[in-house]
Amino acid sequence: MSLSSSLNAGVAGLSVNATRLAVISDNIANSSTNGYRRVDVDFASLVIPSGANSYTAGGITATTFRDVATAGSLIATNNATDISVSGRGMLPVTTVESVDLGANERPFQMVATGAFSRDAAGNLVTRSGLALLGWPTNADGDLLTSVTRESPSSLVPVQISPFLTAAEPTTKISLGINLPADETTAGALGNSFESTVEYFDSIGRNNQLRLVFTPTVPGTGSSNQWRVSFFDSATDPTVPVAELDLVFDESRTGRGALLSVTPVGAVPYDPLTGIAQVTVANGPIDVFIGSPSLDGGLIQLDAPFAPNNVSKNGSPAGNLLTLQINDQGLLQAIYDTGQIRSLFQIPLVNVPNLNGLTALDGQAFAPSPESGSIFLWDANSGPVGGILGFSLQQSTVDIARELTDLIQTQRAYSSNATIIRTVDEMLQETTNLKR
Amino acid sequence: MTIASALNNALSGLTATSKLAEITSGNLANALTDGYGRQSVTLSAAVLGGYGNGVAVAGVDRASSPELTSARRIADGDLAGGQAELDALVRLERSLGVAGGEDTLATRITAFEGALRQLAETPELAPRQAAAAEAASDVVVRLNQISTEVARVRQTADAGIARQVEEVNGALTKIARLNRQIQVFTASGRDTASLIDQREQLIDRVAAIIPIREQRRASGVVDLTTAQGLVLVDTRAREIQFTPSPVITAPMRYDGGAGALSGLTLNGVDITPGGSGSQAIVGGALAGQFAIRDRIAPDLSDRTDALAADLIGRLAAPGLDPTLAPGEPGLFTDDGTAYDPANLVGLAGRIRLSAAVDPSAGGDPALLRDGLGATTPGPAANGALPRALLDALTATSSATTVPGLSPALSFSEAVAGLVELTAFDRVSAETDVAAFSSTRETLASAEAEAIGVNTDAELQALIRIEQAFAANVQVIQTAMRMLDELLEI
Repeated sequence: MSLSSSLNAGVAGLSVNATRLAVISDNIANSSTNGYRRVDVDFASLVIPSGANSYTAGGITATTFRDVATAGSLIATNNATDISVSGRGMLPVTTVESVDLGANERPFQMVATGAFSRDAAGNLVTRSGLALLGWPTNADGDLLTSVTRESPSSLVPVQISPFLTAAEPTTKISLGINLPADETTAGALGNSFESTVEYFDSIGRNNQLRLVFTPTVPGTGSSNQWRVSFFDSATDPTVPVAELDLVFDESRTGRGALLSVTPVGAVPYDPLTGIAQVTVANGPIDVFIGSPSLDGGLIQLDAPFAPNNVSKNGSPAGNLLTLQINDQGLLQAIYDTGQIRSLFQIPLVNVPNLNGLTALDGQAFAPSPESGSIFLWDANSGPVGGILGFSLQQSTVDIARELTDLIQTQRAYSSNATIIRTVDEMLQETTNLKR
Repeated sequence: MTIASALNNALSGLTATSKLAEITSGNLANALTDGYGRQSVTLSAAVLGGYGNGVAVAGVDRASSPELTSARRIADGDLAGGQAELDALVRLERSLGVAGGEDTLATRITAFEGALRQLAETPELAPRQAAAAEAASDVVVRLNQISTEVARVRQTADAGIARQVEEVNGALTKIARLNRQIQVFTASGRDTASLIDQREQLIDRVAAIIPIREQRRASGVVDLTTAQGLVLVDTRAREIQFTPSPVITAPMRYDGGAGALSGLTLNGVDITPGGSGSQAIVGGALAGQFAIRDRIAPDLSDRTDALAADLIGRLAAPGLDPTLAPGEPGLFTDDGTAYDPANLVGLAGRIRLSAAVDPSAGGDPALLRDGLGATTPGPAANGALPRALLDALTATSSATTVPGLSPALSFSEAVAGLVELTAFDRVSAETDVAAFSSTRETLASAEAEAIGVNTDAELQALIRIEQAFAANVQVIQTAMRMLDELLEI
């Protein structure tokens, strides 16, 4: 009967609009929750077959779903470990309580953004109790072991010791030195010139490589010859660890560049790269001294002795200062000596159907049968976006839209209430026919 | 949500303009600070995940002009060295007495000559004998004073070297520490401009004392070497070694490390200015002090020693005083004994009046008439010896030639010549200092123009900052009104 079907439809209308109100209120409540994905309602009309001269109202059902695929906009923060994902993909996390469990016992969850900070044990955790997962790497950012990308089994909780110290040994020194040409002309005093270059050994000790340049003074004319001796402060500082004989070119085309380099004794010297290998206590150091075919390195001009451009790599032992995450997802430690070492690689989780993920507390999601199986991608590769430090993803809730929806919901609710009242009045009329 | 983004952008604008105001106020406050490098903020559009996110402070930079700064530092060093040399020369010249002064070595010689002349006329008068002895003693005292003053100047220079070496060592340690701090600040992304300012001031101080070369490294660190290429600061500061001498006498010299005075060493390498090392320091205040200690003052000392030797020699000529046996000391002695030419160094400090005629030593001034070796009084009216002494003083032939002067001079001419030589050195140093000073001023003002604070420009920037701030506030107000509108539906 069509009158009672109207009543049913009106009641269904009230119910779905109440659901919609609940959704709106949840969205508005979370309009400032970082990483929150708004919930939406889909209304579907129900149809009951009816004849040509009668109509039965079918009513309505509501389906709620969370719009996970739409990402919020990013805001900048001052914390390097405020991490968010730009584009598709989510960060792998687990709960803080299960950090110490084995890989297969840990609940696997994912978040779009998180304000991570180090807890007492060194885990990177959010205040809502989620711990970041990643793959450990060496200092250069290469993965230590081969990893499984189809499951979270090779992910480990990111744990950073608060007392991290590291040193980087010196392996390269580049010399850019002018030797005074007048010291190799007849009648010169033959004094030697020296310079020191500090180098760091594997444990960050500061040692000195002393360079002594001794000219050859000929009887007449100019010899343009020097001998450079390397003395290592870590071994016997009176015995040279390497010696090379240098001859400079004073011709018009040479203009004071190296003419030849002859190692004294067994010193590996490669004329193609201009590098002599000087073995100090700690191991070999590649010293660039130049070669006739290359620019730079040692030069002999009629100018004062000048070590203008001496550079080296390596750094002394430094303490962990801060963490940063680059857009390749490498979590790096910055030391107070300026060196940067990678610690972990954070992959991005992708599932075929993001909207099928199961929502959990703390803006976390878990894979479900509807979402499909996970795959761990390197950031900025495949379908996934990049990882950004110093940023958080805002809630996807748009207040203006929610308020507009609120108005619509209110109107719809009162319209449905009017239907019920009207049906009630009409039924009253029917009842009043017989007194 | 776009209104939230608008608010966010406006907030980043407020943060950036506040930073601009902070830096601008710092610049204005330091408008008169010497060596302050103007700081400027670099802003950049903030982009997050490909979308605009307001504005970000990319960094605070300190204006720098390495070429001008390095040229000005060299000029600082030249000026400091030149000024030290000039001060020492003025002091030395004053000890000799300037030409035309009231009580100088020259007036004392003239007084001595006058006393001898009067004694030659009236040799019998005891007061004139005493006056002649007194005048002779005055000359000796003055020469002794000059010698003491020269030693004191060298002493001051030596102490000055010790002080400057200490200052350099202290500054180098602080520079190494600041380097480290700047490295840490750079690594953690903080502003380093103020630390760099501090470090530049310290480098300025070092550079005025020792000419240096600067090499910039990654993360804001600088390495310092001497201009001759020896490392002063890399990860650590090196220490310059110097041992001050508590007392300096005329014979004490710096002799490549073998002499009594200390030189400078850095990491075992001899860097003494004016020394024989191949990497010896050239220029700067320290080199000025070494020049005073090892060249300027010893030169004057050598000249006064020669002058003293001349005085002794003239009045101890064989036959001048027949009462003296050959080899016996004359009227003036080398501390009581005859002068030995092998023992010239420091003579000006040791020259004494012969005790035989010095009343204060129990001598008898009458011996100036009778002969220093006389045992019995001679004829009362015999003026031969005073006259012979006077002739020896005025003879135009020196017994010992003062370096730099002609040998054919009377003694008072030699004294005048010595004063003139010193005055010449002083004038030349004065000219140098004037030139150094004007070069320094030119470079300093050019540097200040390049890296200093331009108050007008800062004030103009301040107006723009105020406008930008107000505009951002306006955006916030508008966004607020829009949200209000929404809630009023």
